[in-house]
Amino acid sequence: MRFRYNRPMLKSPFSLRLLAAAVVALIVGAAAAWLTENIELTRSPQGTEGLLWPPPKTLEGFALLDQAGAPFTPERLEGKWSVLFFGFTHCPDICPNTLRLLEKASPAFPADTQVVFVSVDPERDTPETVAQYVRYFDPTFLGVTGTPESMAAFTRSLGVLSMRTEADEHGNYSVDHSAALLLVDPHRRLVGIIAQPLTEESVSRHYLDIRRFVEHQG
Amino acid sequence: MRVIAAAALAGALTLAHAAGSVRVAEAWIEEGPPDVPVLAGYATIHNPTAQTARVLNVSSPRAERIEIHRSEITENTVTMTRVDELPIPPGGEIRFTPAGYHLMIYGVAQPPAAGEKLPVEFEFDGARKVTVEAIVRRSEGSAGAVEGSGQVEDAP
Repeated sequence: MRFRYNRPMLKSPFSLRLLAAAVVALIVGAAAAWLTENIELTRSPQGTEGLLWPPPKTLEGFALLDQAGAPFTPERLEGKWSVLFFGFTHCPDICPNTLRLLEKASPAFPADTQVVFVSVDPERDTPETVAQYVRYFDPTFLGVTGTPESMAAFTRSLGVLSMRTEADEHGNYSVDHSAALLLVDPHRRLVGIIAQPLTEESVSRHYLDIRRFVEHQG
Repeated sequence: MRVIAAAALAGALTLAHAAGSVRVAEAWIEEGPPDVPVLAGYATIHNPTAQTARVLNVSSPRAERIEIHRSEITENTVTMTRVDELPIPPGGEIRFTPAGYHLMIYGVAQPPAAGEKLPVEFEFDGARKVTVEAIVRRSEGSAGAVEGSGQVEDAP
């Protein structure tokens, strides 16, 4: 089930308590609708921007590799907030653009936040490739890859689309993939999504709003 | 006085030239991480002529090969496809952007750093060739990346 963040509301300078109260009121109000149409994305004229999943899904059972070749397993998502971004190193336009955007937005993130670049092209993206790629944008970012099977299982569990296109005569292919950011809380629960179009401002705002809401819920 | 006249003449010649033939402007290349297999390049192609102009090939002596690709973000999904022939409508222009048309520059032996320039040749139908110096720089990373990109715009 998903809850759409009300866009105009988030633009107003609500206090934490008022915001939480308004969000709760919206949840109660929307509950009946969820029961009947619980999977559909609700869209505003501008498109959906921030979403929450009540109840959030706990991420488990994955075994990937970080950019140092060390295991990236569920514990790595515990005790801190994670902003997951999906891409691949053969993507020269959108992926660098999003990483630059995150590089600029991340100073506004609380210190217990890790930004994670997840490769949707594990066949070409080795831990070394990912390390070099991510380090160039921001050495504090984490890069994650794995075997094609483990990565496919991971993205599938997140509901993240990733589909390889047919290779051309040079053996080159692209990977169609989700361009949204996912938010994982310190209990490794997938609590939100930040949708395109992403801006430095929208990323920080939605992350902090969703985080505040989740923390208020306990 | 002679200098001003010369400048005016040069200006007039430039304008006449610009009005008459296809033009490639604002060419730049996104600086990439070291050893990245492919770099993205951007430009704006103007076609002031009365006929559709087609980009048939793009090349650079510094690159193994260059292709035109188009990325799109729809429903939060990024897709990218190769464009073998890019038509620019009469009196129109196409602006390359991240999340739109862009050059895929493969196999640049020495990864260029910001500030460097790479010659890039655009070959159009009718054996027309336009060579530009594309400057290497870092993009800003903004919403502009995804909105109104890669569209064919009407000439002003």
